[in-house]
Parts: sequence; structure tokens; C-alpha cells
Amino acid sequence: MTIYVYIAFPDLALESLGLDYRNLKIATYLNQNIQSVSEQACAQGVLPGMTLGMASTLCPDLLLKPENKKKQRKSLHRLALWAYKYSNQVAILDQALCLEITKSTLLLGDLPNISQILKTESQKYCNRILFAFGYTPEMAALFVKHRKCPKEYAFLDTVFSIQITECGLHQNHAKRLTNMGFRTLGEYFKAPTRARQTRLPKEIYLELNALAGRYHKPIQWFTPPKRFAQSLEFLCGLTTYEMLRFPMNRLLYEASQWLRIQHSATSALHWRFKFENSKYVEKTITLNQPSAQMETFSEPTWLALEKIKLEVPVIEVMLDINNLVESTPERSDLFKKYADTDRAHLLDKLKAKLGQEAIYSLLRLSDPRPEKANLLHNEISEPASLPDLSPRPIWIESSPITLGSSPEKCGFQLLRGPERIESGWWDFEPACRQYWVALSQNNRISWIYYDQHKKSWWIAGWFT
Amino acid sequence: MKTTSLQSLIDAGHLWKGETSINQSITQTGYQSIDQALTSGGWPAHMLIELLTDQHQQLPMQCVLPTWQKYCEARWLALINPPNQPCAEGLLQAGLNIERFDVIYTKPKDTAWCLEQICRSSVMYSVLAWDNQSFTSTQLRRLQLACQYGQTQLFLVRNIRNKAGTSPAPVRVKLTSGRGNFTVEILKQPGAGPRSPIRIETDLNWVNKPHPTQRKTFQYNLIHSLH
Repeated sequence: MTIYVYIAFPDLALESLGLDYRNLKIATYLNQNIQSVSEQACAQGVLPGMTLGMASTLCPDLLLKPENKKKQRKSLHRLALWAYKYSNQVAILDQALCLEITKSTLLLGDLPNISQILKTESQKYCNRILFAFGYTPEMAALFVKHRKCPKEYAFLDTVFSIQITECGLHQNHAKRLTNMGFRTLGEYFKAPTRARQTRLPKEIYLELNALAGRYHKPIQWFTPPKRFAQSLEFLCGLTTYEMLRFPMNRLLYEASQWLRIQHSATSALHWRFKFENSKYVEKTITLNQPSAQMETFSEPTWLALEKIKLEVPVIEVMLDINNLVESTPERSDLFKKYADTDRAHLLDKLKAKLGQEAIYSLLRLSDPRPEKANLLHNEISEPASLPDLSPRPIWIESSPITLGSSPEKCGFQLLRGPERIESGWWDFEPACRQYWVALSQNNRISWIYYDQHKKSWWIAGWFT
Repeated sequence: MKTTSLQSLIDAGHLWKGETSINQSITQTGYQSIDQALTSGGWPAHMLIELLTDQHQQLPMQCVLPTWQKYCEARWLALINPPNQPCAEGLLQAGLNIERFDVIYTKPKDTAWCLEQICRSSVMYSVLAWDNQSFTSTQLRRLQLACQYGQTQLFLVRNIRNKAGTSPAPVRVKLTSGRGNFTVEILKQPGAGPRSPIRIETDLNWVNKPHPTQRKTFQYNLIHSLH
């Protein structure tokens, strides 16, 4: 039999508000009626279904917020992404999720195991969940409604024990069935199929069959988006880095889960911080190697975060990941003590703190002009071959130092040369030079040249 | 009275007795006379080594290059805040693998943080860093601990002015240049006291060996010019 789990989020409306409602007397309302209530407000006697006036009378300092279906949908979407790692068949229902978990039992273990996983893992995303298993989503939802979570062998017995009036049927239909003499679902299903089929409208017949796992309604399954773009809004602006870390950590965790689902990795995270004065600050974190690991993202993110000035409270944080690459398992040598990924992580950290322009690799290009051949480059250097050249110095001057018309006048003694370099006619930076190894006044071996165009001598570099 | 043995610390190379050879991993300096002067027979491989000099550009690299030539394939090497741009062709000719070479520039306030991260990470085998800030004793101590933790060798080039001050660096070396030579004076090292200065003649034979493409008429004899 196919098994489904139905997960309800009773505090979804409060959670989607983006503030810690557990310590507040807060309630959401729709059409002048209370919808969701925090525990503290509930303790004051505020209950769902009350009018706003009554709720305010019972709890004068009650914080009232209108229900925002769009935000709830967004929260549910985020939860669907979380649930997707347990099953690739996830459906978004009204304030709940439904997962088909028949195959997941092979990976996650039996139903008690899955229960445990859901209980512990869901805490990272929401305060409270209610869930139950069943042969159909309707059966599982019925168990959740009745706060029951029977074991698989007791699914049908539990369904059959439920009163007709409490199985979620419309009042008129429930009354019609009770008038027929059925008090429980068990009694109803004991009646011959044909008799039930002919006496009831088709939709009611199918609905009741779905409750007993005898009919499967078509389900529209959730498909994870191809781009991760999640944001968290805060009712009270965040003013410190420590405060920002919590929501950002949550987004990073969700991003890593999403990447895992996609079997992908990324090398760029785009953060956007919205301030109370409606201004934005954007920060892009680039990684040396694509990764799907939260640990890889977090440290460069915190280091980059320190560079943002929090003069105005932050009211929204958004994380956008759109450039994906296929995730490849890390290759490692059995006898290699230090993994290449360690270096990538180190460079990510350094780049985040020092800036992209602080870290360079050495690059050698095949250009006769030394200043064009020897470069510092931000990318990882490629294997370089070296043609048969005269000795080159260890250091080169990024801007050559002039020696005027004669090196001897500046105390330089020519030792070896010349090496003639005539090049650059094609890129309008012609060089016509004679390079010499020379001894400077302070006994340093230098590399100097005579520029034929400028008719002057220059220091190009230094030997050790 | 409770007694505690220090043997485990001595065995691990964290503590040493005077005038004894120490069991620690080393890298040969490339100069026989310096190897002999150092108690373990080379630069300690996982320690902070202070190079005190007023010739920031030339001498530190001259001192470190032979070591790097021997161990350049072990892990990565790094230059932090070099005074000039390193020349890829020159380093390739010196036998270094430039693919395993990072050059990092830091702001003075970030230098200590950056060095600690690098030394702790185990990624770099050896690092040659020029100080662009005055390190405190605590910072140097942290760097030494980071070197031990990450098994990284850190050559920290500091101005000769710092010689008078105390330092938690286990190895302190003074470098001075001369005409056709340079002098290495070991001021401090684990397991032994200071050593008298060692004069190293600079190998300049290559200057007199002409490249085939060069014309012979322009050659100068270096040895004659130096003496």
C-alpha cells in the first residue's frame, strides 16, 4: 500500500510574520475574526474564531496582525523545499504538506524512524508541526485533525472508529448519513458497496472512500524551483551582526538543502539587505570552488557581513543563487594529507575578509615583454612552461624606475648583456630594449634596460 | 606532592632543554653552514622564524629560496605583502612551481589575522611574510601556535629595529648584506644559544656564463669587478 504523511503547521500564520511570536501576546485576524493565537495570548483567553473586540477586551495588550496569505504561501513553499529531501513527491495543501513516503522508508527506515526525523528536523524551520501517516492524504489529514498518529496496522481500525459527524463532511451530508443509521465510518463501510454507491452523491462516496484508503484523488506535486531566491522579513528591524546571523544562517541552511536536492553546487551567493529607509545593500560572495555545503558558505558570508555598515535597521534579508554547476563529489587521494578543498576554503575566507583584489596567483604568458609576460592574476594559475630565456630576476618593478641617460651615473655597473627585446608592434605598445644584468651601488644584482625609444635607462627588476 | 612529567611536552617539541638537539621536523636551509649552526640541522618546519633585516627586498628571499627549491612540491607556498611584484619567469627559473604559489596583500590591520588563518589552515607549507604593522608579543605568540597547529613554516620579515625587543618567536635570525655575500646571525633558536654570524658567499657564477643568444663582446667579468 502507498503511504502518505500529512504535515500540518498550526502556527504557519504566526511564523510567516517574521518575528519571535513565542514571547509575544499576538494574534492574526481575517474579516474581524481571530485566526491564529500565540501561546501567551491563548493563556489570556484569546481563542481562534473570536471577534477582534472580544479578544482586545480579554487581552488589552494583544498585538493584532492581519493574515497575509501570500506570506503564508511563501513559508509553505520553503517548508516544501525542506520536505523534498525526504520524498520527491511533495504536495502543498492548505496550510499543510503531504508527502508520499512509501519508497522513503527504504532510505529513512520505518514509520517510527520517519516520525522521529520529522520531529527533530522540523524544529529548524518551524515551532510546531502535527503529522500522521495514512494510506491516502485524506486519511492522514483525518488523523491529524483528531490528533491521532496510529501505527500502520491500526490505520483502518482508527478510521473506522471515527464518528461520521467528525470526519470533515459537510453538515448536511453528515446528517444524511446519520439518518441512514451510520454513526461511525466503520458502520458505513460495513454496508454493501452498491448500496452506498447508489444512495450517496458521487463526490461524497469518493470522499469517504478516500478517507478509508479506497480511492486516490489526483494530486498536484510540487516541483522545486530552478533558482533559489528566498527572503526573510522582520517586523522589528535587526540592528546588529549577531541578530542578522540567525536569519542568514537559516537561509544558508535552506540553500544548501536546495542545492542538495538539485544535485548542484554554486560558487556565488548574492545577498541583499533591505534597510528600514527602503535602501538596499547587495553583497556577492564568490567561492573558489563550487560547493553545496553550508559550512563552506557561512564563514565567507560572516566575514563579508562585517563590511556592511548597519547604521539603519535591516528589515529584510534575501539570498539569491542562480548560477549552478553540477555537483561533483570531492576527489581525494588516499595518501594525500591535505585536500585541495582546504585551500579553496582558505582562499574563500581570505577573499571575504581582504577583498577579491588581495589574493593573486602568478601567471606567465608567452609575451617577450617582461611586464606583459609576468602577471599577478586573480584566477588560479595554469601550468606554465618556460622557454629558454636568459636569467630573469625574482622581483620585477611594476613601474620601472628611471636611471636617466647613463646607469653608471647612478652607480650601476653593467655585468652581463645585452638581451635585446623588440616586440609589441601589433598592440601599439612597442618595446625596443636592451636588457642588462647590473650591480647596483648597494651591491644588489639588478635587471636594467636601455629603452631605444625613450633613449633612457630603467630598472626592471632585482635578482636575489 | 603531585608531580607532573614534562617529558610529553619535550617529546612533542613544545618544550626544549638548552644545548640539546631537538627532535623536530625541519627543512634544510640549502646552506650547509646555516644547517650546521641550527641545532636540528635546518629551519624548524612548523615554527615562526623571524628574519630581522634592513634589506627587506633582497635578503629574505635569498635566505628562503634554497629551502623552497627543495620543498616546493610539498604543499603551497605564499608571499604575504612582498615589497615588489614576484616575477613568474624568475621563480620558474629558480625551480619553483608557480601553480602552487599564492601572493597575498593585506591591510596592516588585517595582517595578523590573515597570517593566523593561513598558518592554522595546513594548506601552506611555508610562508614568507613582510610585516606592514608592528606585531605585539601576543600576536607573535598566536602566530607561533598557529604554525604548530597547522604545521606551517612562517618566515616573518621584520625590521632590524625589533632586534632589541623580546619576541616569542622560537627562531630569530639577523640578516645583513655585504659585497658579494650576506651574513646570517642566529640570535635565538630552540635548544641552543645565539651563534656567531655566518657569511654566505652569493653564487654569481651565472652572471659570467653567457646565454647562447648573447653576444660575447658585451660580457663583463663579475669576479674581477667585485674584488
